Amino acid sequence: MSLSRRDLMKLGVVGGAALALPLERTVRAGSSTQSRLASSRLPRPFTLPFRVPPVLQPSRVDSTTDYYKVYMKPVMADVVPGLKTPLWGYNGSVPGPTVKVAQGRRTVMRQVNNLPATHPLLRYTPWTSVHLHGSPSAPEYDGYASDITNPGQYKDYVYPNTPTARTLWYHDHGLHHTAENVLMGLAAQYHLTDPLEQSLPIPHGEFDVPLVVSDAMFATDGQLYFDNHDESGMFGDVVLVNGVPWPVMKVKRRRYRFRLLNASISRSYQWSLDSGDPFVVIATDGGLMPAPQRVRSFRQGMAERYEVVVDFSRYPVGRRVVLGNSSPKNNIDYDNTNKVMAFDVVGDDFDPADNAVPDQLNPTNPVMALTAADAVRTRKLDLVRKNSQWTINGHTWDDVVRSRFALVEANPAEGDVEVWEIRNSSGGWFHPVHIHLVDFRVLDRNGAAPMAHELGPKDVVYVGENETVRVVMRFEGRGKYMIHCHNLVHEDHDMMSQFEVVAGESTDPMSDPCRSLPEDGEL
Amino acid sequence: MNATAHEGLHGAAVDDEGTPQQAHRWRTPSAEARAAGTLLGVAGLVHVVVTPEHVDEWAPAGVFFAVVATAQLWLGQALWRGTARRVLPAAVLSTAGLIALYVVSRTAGLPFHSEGAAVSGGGHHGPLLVPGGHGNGMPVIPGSEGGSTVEALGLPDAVCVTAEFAALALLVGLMAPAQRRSVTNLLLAVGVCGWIVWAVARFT
Repeated sequence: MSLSRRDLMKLGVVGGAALALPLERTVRAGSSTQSRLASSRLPRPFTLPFRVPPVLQPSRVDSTTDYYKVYMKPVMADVVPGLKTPLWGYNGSVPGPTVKVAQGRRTVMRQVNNLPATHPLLRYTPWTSVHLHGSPSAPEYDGYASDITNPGQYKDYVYPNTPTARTLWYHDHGLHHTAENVLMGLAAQYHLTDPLEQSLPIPHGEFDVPLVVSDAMFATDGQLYFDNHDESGMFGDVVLVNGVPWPVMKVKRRRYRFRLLNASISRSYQWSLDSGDPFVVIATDGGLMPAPQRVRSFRQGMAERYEVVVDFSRYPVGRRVVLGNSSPKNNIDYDNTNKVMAFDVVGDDFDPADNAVPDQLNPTNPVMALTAADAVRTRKLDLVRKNSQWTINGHTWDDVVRSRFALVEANPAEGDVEVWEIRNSSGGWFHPVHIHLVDFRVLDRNGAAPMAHELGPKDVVYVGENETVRVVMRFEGRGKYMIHCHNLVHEDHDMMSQFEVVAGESTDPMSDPCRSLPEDGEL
Repeated sequence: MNATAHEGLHGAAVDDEGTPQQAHRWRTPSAEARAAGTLLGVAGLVHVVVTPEHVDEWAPAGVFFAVVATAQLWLGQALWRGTARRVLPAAVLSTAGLIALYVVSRTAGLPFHSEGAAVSGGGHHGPLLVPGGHGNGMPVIPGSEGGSTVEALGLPDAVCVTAEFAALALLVGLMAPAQRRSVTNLLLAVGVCGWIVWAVARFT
């Protein structure tokens, strides 16, 4: 070795830089990471009281339309006892207030983005795009991901409310950060009623209960803890129902109807009651099923909605019944994610009306009459992980944007019936796929009949590991609508594309852009 | 063979009567040359191991890693066999260049990485078009550097760069004194510049 001391000193300067600078940056970045709240500091399951989100009141009504104002704004919430959690809520409520409307009455909903200019921890601009999930809204009011509303801006969304009765939900769909915005709290239910649903003797009123189920993880300072597991998903160690960790609800000895919405970012659930008794599934995403389905356990992916009736009259006063989750594969589970909420049976008097489930619910829903033979064509959607991105037929939303929004996966004519074969050839992840605009019927899964709880109109279908699912639907409407995975981390990175219903004239999804505050006139 | 070559080999015998075809050979590679060869072999193997994930992330990056791995493994065996003399300057400069590339990728980020690569933690190709968007809509997940072009530091990185730097020092030691002086001065200048840039970025 002929290196002199001087040579070694020179090399030491270079070597020091090569070894120390990356390390210094890693340590510095690491010091800005969050510390996860220990499980010992989480509330014990079934110690906090159940609550129902508030109902949103219209600011004005006229002969045809209900007008609502919603302000998206920060709120300091008490989720974990003893800690304050900064969240974002519609009108400051997490989950947001429930909207209740009757079929045929139009809704105009002003959504004002009063969020901060940047997320305090994640440093992104929280632009929003509000999607009413389950509504055949016009393209410009459908929450098209690129039709964004920045902080300091607002947009009036118009909803026709023409479909059958169903549980919808409104949630953020803003490009690049839907997962973060929804995790922060921008999600809520929206109930559409119709004469058929109102006429049935199923539970109504106080016995018709929204359950917005989500999961979250918390940091030691009370903030949400963010970890997207290398863009595969966000999983919490706390299961929340209507924003409360593992709540306990007092129930009377009669039937209840629960509107189960899986508002989790990435977690799917496999429901069961610890009593072993069945749920009676009466409605799916698109409303009442033709006939109720009794199931002891069923799977629910993100964004799916199921209305189930549980009969508590079979239990004695004082009995506790636990809603459990046996967790489909490829979720990340923690100590208490196998339980969701508890029901404590009480002996209070109750109204005996609407305490039944008839044998037929909505047997004439045209969606459920569709068959593969009605289809004019079959299309294939391949859900693929490619080049570190989640794709649909190899495409991402980035591709759609770069095509100036011309790229489409399908272009059915208005009125066409099509079969879509959605294929997930991976064993490593599942994808709940949402097709905007339409209700569809699940034809089969890997060639076998759909599961019992799926025998109703749907707009999200769980495409599990190594599954191929065929759905059939009629395209009514016009313009461009999104198709995406409802694992919102997958959606953001970037498993989202679009289709176009081709009609005489089309509407640009970005033809009615947001406006800047202050609000231009009263709604 | 000239005297410079003898000195640069530092005890490694040269083919004194060597033909032009044999001029690039050391008769008996020194322990330093073999140690450098071993270290470059380690670095090359690390590059082999991480090539598939880089192919998945961005195909051109995968090709680059495959080329680097091949070059390092070839150089490693050449140093062992004593056939690397002619490429010694190129080996020194390319190893130094790789180390510099590594430092930039783990501190400031590589400019072309955000243009075509799937960004680690970001998952998108380049700066995305968001018509009407104010500012940056890409969340930065704490600890994952999402949305940034800076790559995370991992154990394979640390092993590889340590091996490369040790190999570099040994290779410099094999050079002729005049060459060695020039190369060490150049490396010193690069190192000082690196520290200055870091200090300016960190403290201003």
